[in-house]
Amino acid sequence: MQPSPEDVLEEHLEEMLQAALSSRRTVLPIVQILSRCSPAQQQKMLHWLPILARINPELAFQCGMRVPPLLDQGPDLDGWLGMVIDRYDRDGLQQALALLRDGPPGGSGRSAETAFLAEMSGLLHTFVTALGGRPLQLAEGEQPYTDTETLFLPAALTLTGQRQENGRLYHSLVAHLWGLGRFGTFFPQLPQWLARHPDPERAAGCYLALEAYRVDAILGRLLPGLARVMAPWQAARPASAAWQQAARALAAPSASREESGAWIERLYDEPRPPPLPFHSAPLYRPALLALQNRLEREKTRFRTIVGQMLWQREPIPLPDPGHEPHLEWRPLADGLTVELSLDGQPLLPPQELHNLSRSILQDLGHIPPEYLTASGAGGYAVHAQTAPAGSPHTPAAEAASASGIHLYDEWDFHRADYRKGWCVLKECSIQPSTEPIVAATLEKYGGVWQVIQRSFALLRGGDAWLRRQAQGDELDMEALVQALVDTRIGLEMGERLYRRRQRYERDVATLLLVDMSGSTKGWIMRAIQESVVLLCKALQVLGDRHAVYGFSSRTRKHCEWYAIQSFEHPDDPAVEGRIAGILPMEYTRMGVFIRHATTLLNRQEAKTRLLITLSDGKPEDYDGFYDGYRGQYAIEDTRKALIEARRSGIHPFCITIDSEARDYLPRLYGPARFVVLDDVRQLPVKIADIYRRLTT
Amino acid sequence: MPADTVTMEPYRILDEPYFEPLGNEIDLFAAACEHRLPILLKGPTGCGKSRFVEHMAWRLRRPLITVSCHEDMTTSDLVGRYLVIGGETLWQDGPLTLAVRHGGICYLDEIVEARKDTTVVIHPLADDRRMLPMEKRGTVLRAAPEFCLVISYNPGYQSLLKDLKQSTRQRFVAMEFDYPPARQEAWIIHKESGLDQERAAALVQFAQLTRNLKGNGLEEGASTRLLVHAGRLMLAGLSPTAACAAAITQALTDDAEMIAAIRALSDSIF
Repeated sequence: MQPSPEDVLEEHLEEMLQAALSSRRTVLPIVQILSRCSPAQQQKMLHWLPILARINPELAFQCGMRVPPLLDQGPDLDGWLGMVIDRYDRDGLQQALALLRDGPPGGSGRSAETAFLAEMSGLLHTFVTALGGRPLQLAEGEQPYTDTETLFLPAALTLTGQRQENGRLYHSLVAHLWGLGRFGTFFPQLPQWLARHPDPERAAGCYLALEAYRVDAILGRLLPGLARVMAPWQAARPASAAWQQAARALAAPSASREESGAWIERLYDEPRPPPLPFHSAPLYRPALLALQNRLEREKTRFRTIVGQMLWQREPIPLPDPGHEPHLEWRPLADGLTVELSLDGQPLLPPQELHNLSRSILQDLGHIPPEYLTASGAGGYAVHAQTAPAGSPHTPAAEAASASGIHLYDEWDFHRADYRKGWCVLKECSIQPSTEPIVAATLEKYGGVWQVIQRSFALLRGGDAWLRRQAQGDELDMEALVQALVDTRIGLEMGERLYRRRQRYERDVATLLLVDMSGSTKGWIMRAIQESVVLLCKALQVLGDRHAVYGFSSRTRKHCEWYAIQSFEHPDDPAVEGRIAGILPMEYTRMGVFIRHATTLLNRQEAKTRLLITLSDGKPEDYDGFYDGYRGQYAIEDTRKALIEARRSGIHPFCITIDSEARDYLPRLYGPARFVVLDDVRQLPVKIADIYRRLTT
Repeated sequence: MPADTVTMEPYRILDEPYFEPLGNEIDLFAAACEHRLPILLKGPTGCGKSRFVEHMAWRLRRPLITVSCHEDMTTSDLVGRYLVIGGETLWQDGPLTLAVRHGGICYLDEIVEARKDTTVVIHPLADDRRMLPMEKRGTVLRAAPEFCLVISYNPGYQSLLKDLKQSTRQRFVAMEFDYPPARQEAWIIHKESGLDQERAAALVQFAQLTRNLKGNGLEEGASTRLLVHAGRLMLAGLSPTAACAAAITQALTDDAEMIAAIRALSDSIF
């Protein structure tokens, strides 16, 4: 007898949700719910349930119980469940379940029109950057507000019946929050202002509502297209006569925050008009806190840079106790950039000082005199404020990367989306060994080394004359004589009479990634070390810029990145010790390391950027939950990372000694972008030759 | 063609090229030319450097020879070479030699694109010797009094490789160009494209937003030249959004997300 579809479904679900079941809790209710769904709806659920089950069986179970009844309303399941998983990744199971209980954003029936922050954040970040002023980050928040460094936005917007319109509302919200910071709503004396009123909190609500009118009016002049989106909401907003009068006054181009402040008293007892969907929540303390911290930090940094600039002047001025260097600033036309001069001479400040003065002007409107006195160069440590390009846009990530810790996304092919900030990569140092590995390797591979030297020396940049060209710099005498002879004896005269100088410049930056996973123990590691020595030596002969890094991982939270040789220090004598110190460690979480290598390589100015991975097996890592970083998951993440690298102009290439690699490497690197060596002993012999073929 | 039969007429500019001066650049250029000083123009792409040189050539009534530099350009491309024509070898002047011999303005556009060993041929021309060694002919050519050397480059490309050597740059009178202030830029677009001033001002506002993205996903913001293109398309009846997409957004980048972001910017202006 054929089992019924319900039986099949039950068995399937039991297998999937096993860990969430008990003797009193079975999959039967879910089977009943699902059997009432249409086949298309069932299919949709059976797509999502295994994905959720891999992340957390309880999450999948609850999803099975709650989501199917809502399917008739046509929610954007991908967007919503994507949000739930993001919440799980960030805040844990309870928060994710709460989001699941809340139902799809916007409630029933309108979810297909929802605009999601996760989908739009890249777009919105570019938008707010284009608006100018201090660099801002975007983050998800329960309510919309800004602390003047980050804009907190709701995870989803469903205010109108059209997804595109909701997206435009996101833009309006971002522009409004940007405007609050840009046009001076928050300033250090604000608490004193508010304290003049009996209830400062009430006064604050009043002030922020007034400022919303003022900022909206400025935005209306600046961004007429966006103003059209906001206009219907503004027109439908109920407001008392007194508030309307205030709104008109604050819409004047000359209106200032002082004017908003002056209106508080008159409107203090009036009912406030309701905020519009693109307005901030009535919060001002986060902004003031950030402001206080920033003022202190930027003052210190500003004075340090001024100090460095004075120190780096050439010729270094003689110390003159009677003369204090006199720095002056002058605002330029746009109001946010300044021109600095020292004793009447214009200064060319570094970009960081430009950014700082822009931020300071935005907060204070001027650069106070005490900022213009230098503090000593390098007198005290100042924390780095900027994250390297390519790292995630969160303040936490910025702070982390200054300390050698970087967060990277990881591609989850089940969800077809990135897990945000999923891997924690830490820069570590290798315990150097005193073994003279360079001398030993060169001695052992003496013959190979001689061939490398000779063949690589020929590849060095230089000029060559191309003869018998149709066009060129000079006449090719031999060709010309031949041609004239040909004419004399009645033949047609040749046309290739010139010689042309072919310039050949090598402009290559290469990053070699060395697999330090546990499986390289023993003489595999020895072969890898010897290969690194030979390749580095060969690259020195060639003059190609190069860097060597090792990697090893143990779960996503411990991805370790070992510098062996950096681009910045090509002649570092400690490199030998570090090559000798390479040790087999743990696992191979490939994606994150390729992403970090991409970041580093993209900072190099070179025509050709090459990323070579030296590995002994498949990408694989141990993880307590999921199925771990292995199989298709690991392959797909690695593939995604390689696609990102290629898209940014890098040529990835893989050298491996894994004999099974022919099964998966073509999918990762493309058909001709890898080499499989059957015998690890070939590696040192062949590596330079492989490189030569790659770059000529 | 033999050197003495060359006519410079095709290189003369007969109609006044439109140029809106922002400061003292016209006086400065004229004074430098009069005193036989070479001129370096720096500024972002599409801000009016080449137009300025054309305008000055017209104003000073001198022929203008423009060379767009590239990395494969050799000294012969500038100075000249022997050609074999009908069994005879004839010398042909390169563009630089032409200007030196006949007293014109030689404008080397985007000089940093040329290789450094090509750039050095201009050194003896760019100091008070004012002469051009012609290695292949074994002679030295003294520059005519009206000869003027003008080079340009874009310091915005943040590439160490594309920087001008001190030994080259310290021979020139340098003039800095930038996008004009908003009001003047709108006026220029109005004059060049015929677009009304209100829409021209909106285009400038849009351009300023894209210029804030320089270094944040865009290599350069929208130049005045692109705004003029957009203005002409708008005048031809295209909607502002369509005109900006074709003339500006697509010209700036190929990145799909960036294109979407710039489109959102133009939507918020128009």
